[in-house]
Amino acid sequence: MNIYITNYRTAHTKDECLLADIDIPQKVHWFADTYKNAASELVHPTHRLIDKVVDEQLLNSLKSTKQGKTAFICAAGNAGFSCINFSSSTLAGKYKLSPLNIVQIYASKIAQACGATDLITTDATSCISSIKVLGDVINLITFYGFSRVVVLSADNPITDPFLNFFGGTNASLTYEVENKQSLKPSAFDTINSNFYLGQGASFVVFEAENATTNTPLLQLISAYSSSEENTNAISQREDGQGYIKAIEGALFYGSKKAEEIKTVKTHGTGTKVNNIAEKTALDSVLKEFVATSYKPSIGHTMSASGLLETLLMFEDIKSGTIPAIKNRTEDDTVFLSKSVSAPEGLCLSLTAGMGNTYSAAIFNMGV
Amino acid sequence: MNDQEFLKLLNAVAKKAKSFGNDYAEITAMSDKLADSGLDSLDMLLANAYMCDAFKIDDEVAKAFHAITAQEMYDFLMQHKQFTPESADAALAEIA
Repeated sequence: MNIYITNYRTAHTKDECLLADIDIPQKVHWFADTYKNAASELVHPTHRLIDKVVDEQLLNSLKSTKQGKTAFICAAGNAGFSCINFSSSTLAGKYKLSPLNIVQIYASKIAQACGATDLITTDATSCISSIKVLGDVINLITFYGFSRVVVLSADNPITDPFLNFFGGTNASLTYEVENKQSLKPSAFDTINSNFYLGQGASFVVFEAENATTNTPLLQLISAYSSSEENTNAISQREDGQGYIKAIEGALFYGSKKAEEIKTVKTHGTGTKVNNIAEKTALDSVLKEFVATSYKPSIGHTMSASGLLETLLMFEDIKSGTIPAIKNRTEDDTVFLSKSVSAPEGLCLSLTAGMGNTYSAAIFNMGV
Repeated sequence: MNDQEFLKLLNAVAKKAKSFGNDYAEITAMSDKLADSGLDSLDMLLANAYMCDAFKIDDEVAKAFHAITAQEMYDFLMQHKQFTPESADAALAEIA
């Protein structure tokens, strides 16, 4: 059974904004309006972010075209949306409507509105969440007779806990490091590195081949998630074991050969450990390919990043180009330092997450 | 705030609380039961929070608030309010 994405919306921004008056000053990619009136404690910035990809017209349209069994998956990377506590001077406030901070409850409100009421689930598998759930999409459609699965993924790391954790561990590029070392965010580069945090969301409709209600846009071929042996729950093995298992799993269950993958949307955080692990894995499994990363351009949107960036790649491929990795300083024809024409072939999307988690998905974007 | 303004505010807040739902039935009289508008218990919780915020009612007081009708809600708000919005529109502009 072929599975297609037939409708989607995304929210992200390339705009950079310096948050100077937080504990660890750093630039972010965010929609400042998501925090408007946050001091009232009745505003949930993540819900505001979701409003950018969901509206009543879209939900009504899905409800009216429901046929067969329909599922809803909210891939949020956390059991609670991430901004229950955002108490710095810039991001003042807290949220007092606590039931709606629980992802499953909020997911159910949206699922009910779009008629996806045969199964409503959530996923909390850190930054791999939105790609990891594609395994569920495939299972539900292939083995359980679902005709449509709607995936909502949203994450708002512009909160004190995230900014402090990623800034404190030098994973996100802090203002101090950026200035002292004249660094810019990039990936797979020996000079520029790391990322800014960013808000991101996507709302994606997957439909079975025999039940499409819109023109198929891209085909989901396979998805596979893995872990690796590691004593450090927030690190990655240099030999790329986790990535390799994810890529090989996606190839095996999609009945595809490594040489069919021509384009890779990397996880591409630009951290030293990810650069080594992901590049090692890709070089060892794939043959001829080009790879890019969207995080230097839009920031790390955490659990939303995998699917959101996959859709950005789809739009780039539609326009005929695979974009360069922003701020690369060395010539590189694989981990692209310059944009290239989109090659024909399949696309691989990779993600990795805290807790030694990895996911890979293969798409045919030339439907 | 007269009854008409109050009902305008209450309906707008209730629709906001219902968020993505499109099966909301307007409350047209102060004697109407809130539940008859299609609000479920979660929607009601949110609507109460928004209304209490509009009238700047203390959180601890607001927690104990469960109105059955629009009139009961009005009476509670008038009894415990620390602020009176100029109009429904002014209150709505302040609510998230």
